[in-house]
Amino acid sequence: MTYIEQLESRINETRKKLESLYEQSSKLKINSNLNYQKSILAVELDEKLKDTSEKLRDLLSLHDSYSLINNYFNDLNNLVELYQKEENTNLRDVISKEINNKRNFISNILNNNLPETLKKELKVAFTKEPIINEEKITNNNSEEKRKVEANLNKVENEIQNYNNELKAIFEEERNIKENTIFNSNKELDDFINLYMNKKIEQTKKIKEALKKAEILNKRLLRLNNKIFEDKRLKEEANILKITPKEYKKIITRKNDKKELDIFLKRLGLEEIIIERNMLIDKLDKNYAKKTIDIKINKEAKDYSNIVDINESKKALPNNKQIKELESFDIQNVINNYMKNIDLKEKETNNEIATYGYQTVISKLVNGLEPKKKDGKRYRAANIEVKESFKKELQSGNYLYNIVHVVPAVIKLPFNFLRKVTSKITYNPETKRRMEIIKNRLDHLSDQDLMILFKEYSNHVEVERYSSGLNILIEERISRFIDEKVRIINNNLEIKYKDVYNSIKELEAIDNLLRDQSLSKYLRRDYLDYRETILDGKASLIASIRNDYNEAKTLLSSGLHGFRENIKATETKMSYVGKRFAKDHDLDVELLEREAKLERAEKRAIKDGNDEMALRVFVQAESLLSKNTSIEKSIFGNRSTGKKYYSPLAEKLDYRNDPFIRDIFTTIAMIGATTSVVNSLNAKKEIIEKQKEIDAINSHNENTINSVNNYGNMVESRKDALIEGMTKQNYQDSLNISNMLERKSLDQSSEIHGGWSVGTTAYKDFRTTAQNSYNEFYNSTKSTLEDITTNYAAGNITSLEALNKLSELSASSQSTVAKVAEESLPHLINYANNHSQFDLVGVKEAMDYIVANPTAITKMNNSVYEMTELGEELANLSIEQVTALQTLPNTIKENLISSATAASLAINVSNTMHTNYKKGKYGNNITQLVKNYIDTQDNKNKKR
Amino acid sequence: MDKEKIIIEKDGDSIECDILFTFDSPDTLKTYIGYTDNSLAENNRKNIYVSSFDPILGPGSLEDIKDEDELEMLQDVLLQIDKESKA
Repeated sequence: MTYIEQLESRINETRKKLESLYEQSSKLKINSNLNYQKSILAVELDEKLKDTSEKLRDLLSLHDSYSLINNYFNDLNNLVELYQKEENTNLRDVISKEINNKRNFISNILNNNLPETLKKELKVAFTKEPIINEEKITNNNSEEKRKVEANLNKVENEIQNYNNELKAIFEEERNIKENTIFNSNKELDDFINLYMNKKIEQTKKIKEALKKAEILNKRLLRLNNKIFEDKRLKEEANILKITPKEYKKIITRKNDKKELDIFLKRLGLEEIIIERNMLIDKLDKNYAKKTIDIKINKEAKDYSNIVDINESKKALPNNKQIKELESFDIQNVINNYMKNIDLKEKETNNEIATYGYQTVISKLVNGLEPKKKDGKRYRAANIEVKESFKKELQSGNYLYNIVHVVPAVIKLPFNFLRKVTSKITYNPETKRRMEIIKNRLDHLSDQDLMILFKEYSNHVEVERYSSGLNILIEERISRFIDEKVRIINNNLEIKYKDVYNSIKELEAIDNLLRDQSLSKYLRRDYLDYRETILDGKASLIASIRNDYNEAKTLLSSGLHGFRENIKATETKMSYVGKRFAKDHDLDVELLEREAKLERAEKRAIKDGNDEMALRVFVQAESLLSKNTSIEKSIFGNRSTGKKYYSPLAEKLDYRNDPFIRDIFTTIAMIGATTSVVNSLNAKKEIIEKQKEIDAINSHNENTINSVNNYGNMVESRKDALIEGMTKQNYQDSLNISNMLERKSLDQSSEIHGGWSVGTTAYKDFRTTAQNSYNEFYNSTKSTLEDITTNYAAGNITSLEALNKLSELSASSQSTVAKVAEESLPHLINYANNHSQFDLVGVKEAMDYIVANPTAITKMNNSVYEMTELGEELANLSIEQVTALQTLPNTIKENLISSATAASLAINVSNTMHTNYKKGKYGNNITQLVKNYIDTQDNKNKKR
Repeated sequence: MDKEKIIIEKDGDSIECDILFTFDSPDTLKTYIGYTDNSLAENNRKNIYVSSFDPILGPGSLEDIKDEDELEMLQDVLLQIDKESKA
């Protein structure tokens, strides 16, 4: 049995155990009236359930990681095969880099993504199934050498033959020339043309053969070096009693590092040494490899004197053209290589095209969701009937018509809402079904997940399935895409570091080269090293752009669009809250500069111009970064600029950051509770108004004056209402948009074992916010319960209740303002260090709340006063009633959304702040780019 | 519980309704709510409105019930309620 089969068997066993535990637990809880012993049993079962769920989750993670690594191994083996077949040195380097990238990915998965125990298990599993036969290349060296030698002999024979033929042509031409009398210009021209063509033709053949020989010779030299090196390593390793592989690792590291460190110190780039040393295991051994290549170039057999005719030079492309052709060929080969990968994927897709999303959905819900044709009736559970309804039915006096309507909007009493939500949250049957679907989702293959991702991104089928299913699918797809993007970003990070180290080294060398007194020897050394640094940069830049686009496609147009579709379907709202985006006028000049750089970069990549590609890339990145961070605002280096710079695709999404999530949650929780108060407030107010309207019987001239007074009062309170409503809107924008996002994030964080936090700013904020929130929540809750209980019991009138609620609301508002005020400095501090997040919208909303702490209170007071006045009005004309109705309607619209936020807040409160751990977040690359720009700016200032 | 009411808004009007019953369905993963505005139809019978909502999202948005299987289930529930009230 293979490891993966063993793993699957363990997963199945654990799943069965989990299902059995659920069943036991459900039975126990459904047959309630739990006595003490049963209660103990229920608690024990819950604990077992928790442990088994965790175990299953671990096993599934292990399965995912193992499958992922296995895929990389397959890629690796293909790449090794490609590497062995490939003769083009540059392309071998490209493939070698790919091989190292794959190794890094595997290493990252093994080292970063799993708990320690699972890591150990994975590592043990993979030591049994070797990752890659690294010796394969080495062992094949001798065989390869024989092949190369045979080829070289063949080509050298060809060269010899072609040269002989050329000599024969020369001989023939000379003979004819000496022995022929040309009687006309035409005869002479024909003769010259004939032999000219023959010579050119022959020369072409020789040149081509020479080129082949040159490549083979280089290859042979390298193989000789390798074979010699292997032999030497073996001998020396024998002396040290260690394996050649271990010995090679030791000396390669030592030599590379030492040589490189000395060189970098000579260039005054000590800081790169540390960085480079950290990366030395991650990056390919470019430096060592390229140094060997240079030596080989120098020692390569020189064929240039074999052919020495001017005609042949004319007939062949000049050096520049050759260089371009070579570069073009390399690029072509890389492109072909990429196309091959694409084709491979397409083939795979064709293979899986035998099924689609319906099959996948069916897999997920099989046995859980009913099918229409199976003839079974749906089951009902938790039926609760109101006593009054029962009594009516008992009396037999009433019969009922069943009517089916879709009410436009609904408002429910707070206590009912809370009850319903908690009842549903703890429904064991629902929970069990959701858990099973969740497990099945976790177990879906990458192919299945990709099918779902594509279908859901296109919004084809989202609306057809239940929201519960959609939410679970969203969570799983988000994880799937996040993992893909994380891998791309890891790769991007390494590449960015390579680029920025290279540009620093390049500039340092150029500085040294400007010194006219530099010795020829050093100058040559520097120039050689310069070439080494630049080598392959055009393809590196191209790959950075490709990676970034791929990740962005997955996140922005893919995952983001996917989430938005789900969100719109969930909420039945097309526009949810206020988005945190900036509005700026288009800066045409900046756009033109960017366009120029973009064209130059693409051209450089196309031409294989490494230096140009590198320099233009850095310029373009700097331009973006500068326009993002330089503009001053309350946020310091915040991205309030004209551009938005974030080199890593994942970091574009602020919702993934734990600090941001927490700040939203705390503010939103407080705001949402306030909104509940307001919605209660409005509800009472609306009921009162309704009663007043109902009480209107006839015209009464005397009321006209009263209504005029009323109108004047409304007019005088208009500003307060507008101000209050604006603030409420700001709060709601914070609440609604972020509560919805928070919901899915919390689900995801639970699955991932909690989100990571770490900075001092975060801790400060969390402590402050948590304290304020706890204090506020406790006092609000008890006051609210007090008011509603008294009102329900008839101890206080609706007007008194309204008054008390207004007072409570005022207190809540003050807390919201206080928390917002306390949070702002921490947010600013955080934002200064995380320029990748665009928090202008949050800042605006928080600023408004801080600047207008009493706006809502004023609004509520106005409503209260107007209601009080309204009670004094005995009769109103229908026209006047219509006029009055405009006020509650405006408030109603505003507060309905608050109720939505409140219901979500209750859901969130059950799951928030449970699991979190320390960790790092942020973006090293933005800092890297910023440091580079700062250094350049300092240099410019000095000049 | 008797005091629990539901306010629906239709065509700009607020209508206060009495909640009569609620139930969940593990098959559809939805919660159902029955309520009345105490209005009488032409046959002099009271109108009962029944809607469903997603328990994950809460009752912020009610949905109409059109699915035949759901209607059958609803009928079962009403029969059961009627039977139990007379027991």
